Amino acid sequence: MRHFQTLTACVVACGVVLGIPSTGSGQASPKSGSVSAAAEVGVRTFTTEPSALDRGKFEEYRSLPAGMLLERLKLIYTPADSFGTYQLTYRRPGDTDQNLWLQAKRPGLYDFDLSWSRFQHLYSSDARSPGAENVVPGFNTLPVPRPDSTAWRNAPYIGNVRSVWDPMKMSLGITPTSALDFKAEYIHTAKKGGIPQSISFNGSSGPQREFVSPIDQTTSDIRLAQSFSAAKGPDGILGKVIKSYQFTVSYDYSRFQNAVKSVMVDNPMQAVSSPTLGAASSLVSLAPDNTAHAATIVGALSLPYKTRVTGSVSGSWQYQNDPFFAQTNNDSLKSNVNYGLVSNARASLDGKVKQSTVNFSATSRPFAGLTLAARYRNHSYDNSTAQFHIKALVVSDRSFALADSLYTEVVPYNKINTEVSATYELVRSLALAIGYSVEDWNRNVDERNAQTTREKTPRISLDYNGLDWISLHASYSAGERRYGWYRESGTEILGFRRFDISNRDRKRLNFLATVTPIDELTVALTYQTGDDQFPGAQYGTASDKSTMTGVDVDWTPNKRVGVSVGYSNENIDNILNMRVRTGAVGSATYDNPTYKWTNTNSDKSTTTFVSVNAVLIPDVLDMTASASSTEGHFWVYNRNAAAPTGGTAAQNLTATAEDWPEVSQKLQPMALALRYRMDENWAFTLRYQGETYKQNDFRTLAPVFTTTTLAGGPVATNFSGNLPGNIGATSGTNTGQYHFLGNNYNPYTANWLTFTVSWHPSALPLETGRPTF
Amino acid sequence: MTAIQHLFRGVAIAVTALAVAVLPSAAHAQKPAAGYAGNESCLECHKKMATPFLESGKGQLLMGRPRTEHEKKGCESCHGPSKTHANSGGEEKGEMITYSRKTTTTVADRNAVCLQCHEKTARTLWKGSAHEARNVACTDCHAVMHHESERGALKKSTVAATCGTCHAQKKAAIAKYSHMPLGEKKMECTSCHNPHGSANDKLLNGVTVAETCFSCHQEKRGPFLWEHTPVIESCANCHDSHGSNKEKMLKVSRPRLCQQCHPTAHGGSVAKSTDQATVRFAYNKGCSNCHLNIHGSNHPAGAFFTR
Repeated sequence: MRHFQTLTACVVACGVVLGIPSTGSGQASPKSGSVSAAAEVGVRTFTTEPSALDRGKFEEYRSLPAGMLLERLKLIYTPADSFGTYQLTYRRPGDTDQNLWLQAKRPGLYDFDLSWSRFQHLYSSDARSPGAENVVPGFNTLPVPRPDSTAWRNAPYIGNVRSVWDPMKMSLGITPTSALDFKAEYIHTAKKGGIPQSISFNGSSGPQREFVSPIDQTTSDIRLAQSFSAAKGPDGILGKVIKSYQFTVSYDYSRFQNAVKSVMVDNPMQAVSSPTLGAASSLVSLAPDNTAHAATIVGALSLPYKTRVTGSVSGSWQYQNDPFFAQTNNDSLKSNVNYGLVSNARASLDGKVKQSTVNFSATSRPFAGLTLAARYRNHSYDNSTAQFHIKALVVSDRSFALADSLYTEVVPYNKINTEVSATYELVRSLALAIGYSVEDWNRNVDERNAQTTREKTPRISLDYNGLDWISLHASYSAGERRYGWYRESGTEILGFRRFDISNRDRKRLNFLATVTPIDELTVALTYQTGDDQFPGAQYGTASDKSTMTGVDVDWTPNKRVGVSVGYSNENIDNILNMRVRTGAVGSATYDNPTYKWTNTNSDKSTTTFVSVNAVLIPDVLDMTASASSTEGHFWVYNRNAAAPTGGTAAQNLTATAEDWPEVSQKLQPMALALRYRMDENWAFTLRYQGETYKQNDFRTLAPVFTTTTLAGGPVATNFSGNLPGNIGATSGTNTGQYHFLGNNYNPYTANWLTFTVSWHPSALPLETGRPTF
Repeated sequence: MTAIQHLFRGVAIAVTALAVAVLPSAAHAQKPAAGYAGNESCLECHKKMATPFLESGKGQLLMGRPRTEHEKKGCESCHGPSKTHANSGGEEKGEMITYSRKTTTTVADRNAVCLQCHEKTARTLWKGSAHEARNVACTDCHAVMHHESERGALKKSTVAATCGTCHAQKKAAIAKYSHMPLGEKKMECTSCHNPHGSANDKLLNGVTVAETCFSCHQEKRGPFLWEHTPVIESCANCHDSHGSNKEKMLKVSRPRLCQQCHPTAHGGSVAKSTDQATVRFAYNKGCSNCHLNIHGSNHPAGAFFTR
């Protein structure tokens, strides 16, 4: 709302200065310039409308209500000297999904830009809860006595769970001379609403409750930058070496504020706090306020032999000092002998992080056809927050973990990149490039398994654009990452390697061809493969492979018709080796080789689209049509190499791997719009849009269990029924362990018509429906 | 209303008013230099093509209010000396610089024209950048004479569509189930990347992946009492920011995602979809059913990100 008032004030200011007549219609005045306006109003009606419960995915990032709409409003001011651009565009005012753009630009002098966009991120439209979810931000309550299973299953729907973003960006660029640029930006973003989160009150076995966590955050960013460009070098001897130079100095400030710092969540199984079963309500911390500053200097010199040297130095500082919460709000724990150990050693963190980055790069063309390049980058992340001692931790507001040796952790790192490359034009328009890059990481060995890693990546590429009808690019790289020494933790499986610091062999192949056999037709072909192997990792990520193929066709048979068709297919297979551990340390089942299992995450994505833009009758009838299909599947294959043996029947069963059901999504939008221009002033647009969405995800659909116990119960065979459900109980007076809001993006079919009337349509281009490419 | 809000509103109004104020005009008249034909000669044949350009900011500046000798050349400030071309009735190219698909002017020479005026601010690091090294021409993405986009003088209607011309894999990714709102036009590729060159990896605007993400997700910036190392080092350890078939743009599904680094947590169990003992690790948010503050916690009892 504050944004709206501010923006309105700006618009009014414009109006005052410009002297816009109250009618807003086109007016001309030789001395003060003229104002023209364009508008598009209409009505949207559904022939098939998704129900309120099925709108989650339909309105994930947008809002599409039925009824009257002011689709676009545009005001354009033309000054008396016709020099400059002054315009205001406002889309869907009053809607959840609306945006405004104000531009005042005098080329070569200044450029003022103000944009504001409000949109929602809709997480769920079918959540249910017997409690109060985010009704009073910071308190998510349940009735006393606590609702039973039946009450959870029949809980009322709580409406949309969403966050609404209100980003407003204002920038002013001033160019006092062609050599100077000054830019100031102010960005204010407000986020409000709620998001589903989940908490456990008594360890991983529950009770667990999903709740609506409040969001009431604001961010203010200020960015200032001054650039200078000299088309010639300095006078004197330096001028013979330096052909031109540029530099930019910038400063950024960012402040994040959270109006709700914590949320109290009622325990679904405990109405009275217990020293053994947990608290009746637990406090969850939300993001603390923080601030950040960054300063950067970038400079560039153009030297003889078409040599360009650039460098930059930047530093940034982040701070956070919100007061700590108490370790627990479970007062019943006060009787515990260890309670005295959990008092906070400090009142707040006084967190300080400093990052510094230095870059140098040079590129040179000493003679025709040869380009040499080199780059060096050094980035350091340093957490200078003072560490302090933790005597004991309260776990899940229920138990104590004595931690005499535990200190708060800081995880600094340093990353250095070095790269050299040479590109040589073998024959006209056929260029061969070879490069070699090294990436070095240096981490805190106290916190990470490997202190140093080095990745060396040679690469080669070939580009050809010698003929005007074809352009080819092919590249191949083969990287090799190795750690200096890997410290295996005593609690980890022998032979386990973390994927981000493990030895890795990485191969990448890219091929892109653009063919234009005739002027009217362009075909782009893409083929990309990735292959990551993790040698020496007996456990952990073993490989990650991907293949992507794509073809895009653009056909413009004449100036009135444009057709685009595209297809892409991507497959990813990511393999991980794991082992189930059960029983006491040293027992047969603790490190049992037959308990090894392999997980394969397999992804397949297919996208197909077609779009047509046509001028059916010049200056009278335009058409745009589009249709696309995006289909995603993933499979989780869990397999044992051999049947697990060596433990009890129950232990062996636990170690027996099992595939997941397939998870899939499919979205198919289409749109057809016809615009009839009656004359220069009026046009009528009729738009049909249709969408179908299908989703099958067992993780957000409730299995119905037949017993009320968790451990050792029979497996579920029935996946019918939506959440909220409580895994572990189907009925009865006691609730089960798991309580979810029932978020699931439901399938939907939607068909709707939009009819709009446009005034001054030439200023309002005909737009497609849900965008395709 | 706070003082800052008053200040903000006042500045906004003042700046807006200043911006729309009409500045004095500066008429000019220029005789073409040797080898140059002059704007009038160009417009004799190319008036229709030039009409939308004349209405653009660049057209207004070059053709109406040039500030420098270079800008005073008008059409020829970009196309070079065109007298030969004009005198031959368009038959000969002469020293002209052209930008069409069949041009014989090299990409480097074409780009050099643009950089005469634009080699500062966001384009300071163009030379040596990934796109420059790949021989990308400014006019591969931008259309000076007649552009399709509302902003940026692009050849296609949006930044995403423009970038998607070459980056097919990323174009397909932003249409996946879980994506950032690029297709919905709430952000652009340029929200994170500077295609004109950056000192950072992947042409990022921020010095790191995390810093780039924090430009919108400041609540995850911290520093926190309990940090999660992969968050500090790179958000891309867990998320594919261009889109994914998994929720939250995760690279692989939970709990598998977490088991990559935590193989012994909860016994290294197989999360089975039909087993009551382990389904809690697969169901709904997987590991985040309990470890909700996985990006970092400032709660003294949040060592395991559960509070």
